Amino acid sequence: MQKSSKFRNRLEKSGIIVLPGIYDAVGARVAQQVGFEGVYLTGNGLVASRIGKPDIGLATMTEMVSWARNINSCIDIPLICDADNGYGGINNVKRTVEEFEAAGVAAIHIEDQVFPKKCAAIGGLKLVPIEDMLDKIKVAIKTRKEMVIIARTDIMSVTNNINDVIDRIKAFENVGADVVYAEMITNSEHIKRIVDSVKVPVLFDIFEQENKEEIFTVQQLEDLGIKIVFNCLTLMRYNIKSTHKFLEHFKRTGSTKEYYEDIMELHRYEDFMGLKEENKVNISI
Amino acid sequence: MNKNKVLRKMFESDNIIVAPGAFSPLGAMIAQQVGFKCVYMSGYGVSAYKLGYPDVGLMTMTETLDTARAMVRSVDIPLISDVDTGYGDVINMKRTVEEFEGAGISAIQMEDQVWPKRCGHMEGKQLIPAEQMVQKIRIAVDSRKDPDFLIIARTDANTVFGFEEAIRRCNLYREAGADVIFFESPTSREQLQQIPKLINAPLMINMSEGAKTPIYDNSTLEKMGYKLVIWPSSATWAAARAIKEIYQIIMDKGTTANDLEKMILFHDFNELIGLPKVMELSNKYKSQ
Repeated sequence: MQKSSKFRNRLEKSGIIVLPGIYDAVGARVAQQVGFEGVYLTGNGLVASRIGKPDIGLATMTEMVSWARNINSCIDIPLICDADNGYGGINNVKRTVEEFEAAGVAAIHIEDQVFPKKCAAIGGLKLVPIEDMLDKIKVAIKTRKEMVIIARTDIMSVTNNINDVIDRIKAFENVGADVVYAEMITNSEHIKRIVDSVKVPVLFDIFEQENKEEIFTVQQLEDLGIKIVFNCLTLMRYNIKSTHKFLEHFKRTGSTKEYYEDIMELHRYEDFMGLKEENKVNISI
Repeated sequence: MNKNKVLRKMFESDNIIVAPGAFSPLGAMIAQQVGFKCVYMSGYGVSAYKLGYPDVGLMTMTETLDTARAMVRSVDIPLISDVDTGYGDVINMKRTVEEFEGAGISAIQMEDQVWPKRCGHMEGKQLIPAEQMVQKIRIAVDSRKDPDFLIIARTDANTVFGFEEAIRRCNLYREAGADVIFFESPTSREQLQQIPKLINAPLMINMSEGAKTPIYDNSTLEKMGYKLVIWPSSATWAAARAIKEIYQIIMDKGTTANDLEKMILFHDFNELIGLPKVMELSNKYKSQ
């Protein structure tokens, strides 16, 4: 069965789906090895890792698809991918859906921002009129074969009004979105309202901000009725900080010995990258 | 002399620069063999031949770039490339300039349409405010490393807001630092003659057969005051017709045996695509 069909079926079953946010093939493999049932490919992290730029709509759709294809190919679990705003108008959304689905991506989310988009945490967002977004969802649903279409709204960052969020996600559900997702929701009361206002599964993004006590756990989100959870940038931010710490230490001391316990053993690294499997293939040829 | 400098020098000479449109590296190679001194990459043509899409903003910046890079590599003459709207706002324009300049393209042509764009001769175009385009030109100029990498600014305003607004935009874009101005879709001989009198800048003109602008020859356009003429879609349409014709022959006659003169055949084509050069190199660097 295709991963998209698998993921679609999984949505019907009980239990919250946890997708760690990854930005490269290594992260995807680690997540699979740890036992996650899927991974989320963050656009923000992908752009950062591939072209070293902020998330302001600089990567092209075809770059995103080609990176997603690479990552998807090295794992067996479904890949859920950020597809920004569909990269233009409805014709672009149609092509975006076709390309991501052909790359084997199980689900994409499309948001209601104007082109070029910005990361919700950056501020200064502009949205397209609701009618335009509904057209995009409709064309996405009509175009996809099995891929799950997640409709995202960024309206909370713009109006800071939960009623606007509710209006948008209800409208998304009405035109056939498989899953709805509101970005920049920070309290449980709002989550509850969102979950209660639609029948389709609701996705939530764990986003660590200033207040540590406000960070949700998977259990809390499940209790609130959330169906899918990912943490789009956590791993990226964790990795930058630890890389920084390590490289700073190395620069200062000229030694990696103090980090010996934290460095993956060489043979494990080779196992992890699948050297044994690759060798088997070579032998069988 | 690098290609950018070569193109810049051509703008300093008295003659009109003629750039046939190409949609593939082979097209650029043929243009060079015929004797053209530069070649124009048509987004309209690439979108059609590479992706099978009409020119409505479906091709991404990096897809356009891939084709442009291959064309640059295939010829010694400078390449002028269509870059649509710069694929977003000012920040996208910056990346577009960095990527195209880095890939060895000698001039890029950007237009003041809303993204996703449409072919200049199509209906239903929407434009960004002139002030926004001015900022895109400014960032393009500021982002290039080589001052001889040319920025061509195009306005699509004539068929949307009218002649006067189009002229106003052209002059604004020139002030913002564009090296060349492209007034898209003049609709009459009178407009074609008026434009060079109202804009103080090197001017590009587009001979798109069967579209909105009447067709003239290169020397007439030179006399009118144009500095660069592109024939962007001639090859796109001629090739499509040739392909269709030969397919129809195969379909109808069941053979091409009596129509060989319609093709460049095996040996000649191999020569055209540069096989002799490849063989020569293989011999030269043979391991024994």
